[in-house]
Amino acid sequence: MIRIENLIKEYKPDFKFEIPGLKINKEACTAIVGNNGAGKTTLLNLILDLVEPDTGIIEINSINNKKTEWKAFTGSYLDENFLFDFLYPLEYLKFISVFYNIGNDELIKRLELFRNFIEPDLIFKNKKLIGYLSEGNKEKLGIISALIINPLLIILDEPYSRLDPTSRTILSKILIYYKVALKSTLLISSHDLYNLAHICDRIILVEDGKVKLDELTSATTFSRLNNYFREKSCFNKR
Amino acid sequence: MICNIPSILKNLIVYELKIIFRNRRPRNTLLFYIIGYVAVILLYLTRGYQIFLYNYILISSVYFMYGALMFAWESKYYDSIYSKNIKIKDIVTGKILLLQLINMVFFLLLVPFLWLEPAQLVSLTLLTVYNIGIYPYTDVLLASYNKKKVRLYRCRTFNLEGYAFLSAFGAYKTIAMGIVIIVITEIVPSSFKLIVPGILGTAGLFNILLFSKFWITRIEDNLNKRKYLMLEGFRHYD
Repeated sequence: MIRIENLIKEYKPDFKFEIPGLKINKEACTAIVGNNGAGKTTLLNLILDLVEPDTGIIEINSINNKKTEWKAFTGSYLDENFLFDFLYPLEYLKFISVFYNIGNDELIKRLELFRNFIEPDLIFKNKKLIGYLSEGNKEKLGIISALIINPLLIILDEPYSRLDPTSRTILSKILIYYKVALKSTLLISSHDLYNLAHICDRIILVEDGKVKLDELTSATTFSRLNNYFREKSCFNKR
Repeated sequence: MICNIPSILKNLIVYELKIIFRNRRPRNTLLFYIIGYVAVILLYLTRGYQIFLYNYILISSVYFMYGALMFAWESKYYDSIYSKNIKIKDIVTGKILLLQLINMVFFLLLVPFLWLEPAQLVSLTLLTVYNIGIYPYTDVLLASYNKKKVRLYRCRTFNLEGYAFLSAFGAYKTIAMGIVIIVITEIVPSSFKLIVPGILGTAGLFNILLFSKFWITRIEDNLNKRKYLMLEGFRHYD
């Protein structure tokens, strides 16, 4: 689904993001993990063509990401600025739907899937502008806006970070539904190792702008990643 | 006219109107515009002399008050816009149409006050055709060189955030043109007073009919060329 070749992006004075080659398979869920500043968001920004690489090629479904055709089947949510906070939640979802040829009835039907994930009144009653929603509800709305178009490729940056425990579990189920039922490809960056290890087929560990580890998930993935980050922590070092 | 606009463009125009009405700085900008508008009408009603040129400057001031910061109004959402299936060509066309519509609405509001003075009405109509035929294109083009962010929640008064050299030039050229028109019209004999508005109106009409596509493509190309610069400049919105 995604092919990256010789990708380099340097932020002076001291950060260089470098991926000689990487392929993200179709219909798989790939997790990107790493500490803050490791380069996870940079990678997602580069894939979405929001940041110019110094060198390298990125292809999405064999389409160079400098072109725009891939946007028709890609749903993404990186941060709060992806939401138009002067709109009401339903206005925002309707605004987006127009660009993907989704009619109002179809939109309402698709929103059924998220009934337990977000309070329906929050979407349908137009009580608050997005800017006045809680951080958690903004996160939920952003995730819904990426998924509502039923994309072939889903790119999410730290989707679990502002969610309560119940919503995290529901989100994992929703993402599995997209992967299994809709055959979507998922690329998720997160610090939530537990949920990632359970829903993703593959883990890519990024550190200092480089891929440190790239492997398929197994029964031991969660505990091994947990141990890895624990060892990195100065607090636990003796 | 509105009925013939495709739903994507309608969606974009409504979105832009919501930016204006639901955010402090563009709303204040509109308020200043309306105060100026009312002041000119009062002046006209109380003094009753030939002020059509002031009317002209007034209705064209939408270009330096709002048009000069096109794209920068959306600084916060620029990443989001570029990651979605929104065609840049549609965004450009939507902005041009919006400026033309605002200009036409304010022109129509002036018509009842000029009804008894046909010469003024004809002049103002011709200058409005010039306005909507030239300025939306030149202003959106100049705005596409802007890479300074605008924070929508800030007050407008004495706030020059977002203005770069070219956008300032874009803003003041409209006033300068108004002054040039006043001077020329004062110089020519009274029987030829319609010549200047006539020439300008014809130029505006020709530009809409013959060069509309050229301008839109030119602006689209410029935005694509400057995409990363603008994305970087508009980012870090606090």
